[in-house]
Amino acid sequence: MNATPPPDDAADDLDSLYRKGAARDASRPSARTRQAILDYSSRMAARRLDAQQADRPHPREDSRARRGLARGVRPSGPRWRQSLVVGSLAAAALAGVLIAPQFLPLAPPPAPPAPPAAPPAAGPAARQAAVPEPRASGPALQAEAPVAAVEEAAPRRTAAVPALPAAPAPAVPVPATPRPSQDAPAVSASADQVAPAAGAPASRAAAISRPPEPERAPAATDSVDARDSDGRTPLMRAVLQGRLDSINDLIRRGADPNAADFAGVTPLHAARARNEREIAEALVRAGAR
Amino acid sequence: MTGPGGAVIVAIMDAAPSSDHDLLRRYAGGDARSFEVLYGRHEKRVWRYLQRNLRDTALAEELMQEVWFSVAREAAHYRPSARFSTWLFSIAHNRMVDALRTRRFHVSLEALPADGDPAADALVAAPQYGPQAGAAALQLSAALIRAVEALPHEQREAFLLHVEGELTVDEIATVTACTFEAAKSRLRYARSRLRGLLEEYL
Repeated sequence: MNATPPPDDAADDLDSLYRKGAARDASRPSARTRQAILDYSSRMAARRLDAQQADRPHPREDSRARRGLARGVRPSGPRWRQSLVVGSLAAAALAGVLIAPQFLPLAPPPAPPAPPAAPPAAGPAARQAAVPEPRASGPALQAEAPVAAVEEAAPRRTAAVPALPAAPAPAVPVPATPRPSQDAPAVSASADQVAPAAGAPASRAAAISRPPEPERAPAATDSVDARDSDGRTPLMRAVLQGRLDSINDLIRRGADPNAADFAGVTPLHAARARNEREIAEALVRAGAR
Repeated sequence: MTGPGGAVIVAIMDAAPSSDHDLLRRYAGGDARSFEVLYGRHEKRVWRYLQRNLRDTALAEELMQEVWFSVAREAAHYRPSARFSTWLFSIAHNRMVDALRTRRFHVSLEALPADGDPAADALVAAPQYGPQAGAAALQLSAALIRAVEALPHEQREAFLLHVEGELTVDEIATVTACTFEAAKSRLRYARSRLRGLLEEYL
């Protein structure tokens, strides 16, 4: 190849000649490819519509307004989300490493919501007796974790921080809250308080406040919802294979009917796209949206 | 509702003269028909870009799906900092590079079948462009397609990005991750070589 490119004369002639030829060229992708593309785009559009409808009456807005955090903070802004997650993790790590192991048993409970069963002045014997009674023996930082106490704490952000040291202690604040999914540590409990919408699917607030996966308590249905490299659960794969019996079995075993794959497609979307009416009905009966 | 062809898509195109950005924004908001319009606008150009670069219809079909799946997935994150076609063809370019890399699929002049390209043959054989339509012009177009496909890969891609994607030299440099001068040189060499290959017709 020469060092200097050839002159670019009469380039337009060649370009227009090619374009004329291309205009006559009737080749195009097959109808199957075209249909697959349009089907996929329709499913994605339907999913976005669903997500928008789910997000519209977002209860998080109310809770944010109540906490005075609404002004100047974008709800879905990545900076806000990032800073909250990083801040929470840093606070949890700091408190867990420094405060909890050393001072947790010594701190007096300032406002225990439950009746104090064990007097704090008792020595190691009383502490031993208090071990099987976590609510009664809960030290100060743990005692703040229940909903009632956190609700009354002034800034919600700071309320979440004291609750974090309770994370190593297994589910201490859980019995005080009536939520069904309280088998997670206290971090999750405060996350639910920030976004109290129990029914909101994939709520952004929950996603923001929820701790990263390693801190999540393993759910009983995790093996049922194990994902493959595409993020598909066994339920999704069964839907794609049209296996109604497997679907019913997985649903009985507690599989999440709304678990979307990495492309965002849920089992119900897939069933509808495949015109699998029975499967779609089974999924809807199981709570798929 | 639709035949195997794109009659409906063409009809939608005529009825909706929105910009590509508007269509993509509407699609990101959940309007599936906007995507159909967008797809109808760019389908053939992306297809020709892939097919003539790869010379493998099955692989081109596969990549065609991947490109448009990506567009559908990323629509909500798309920011109109550049033309839509630049974004679209950069996706197509990246998919193609990935495919070539993973499959070690190498397109070279030596690998070309002696019979030439089916698209070029179909063009010559198209009944609406029969002998009475100008055999010389058809032969020239078919020869040009073959000549394009005979170009070295980088030159062919630069040329196709320019004529199919209507990308400027600057945009070609961005999409193919090379310098402006390199993109300009590739385009010039491609044209020069095409002119040489088509000498008997021009």
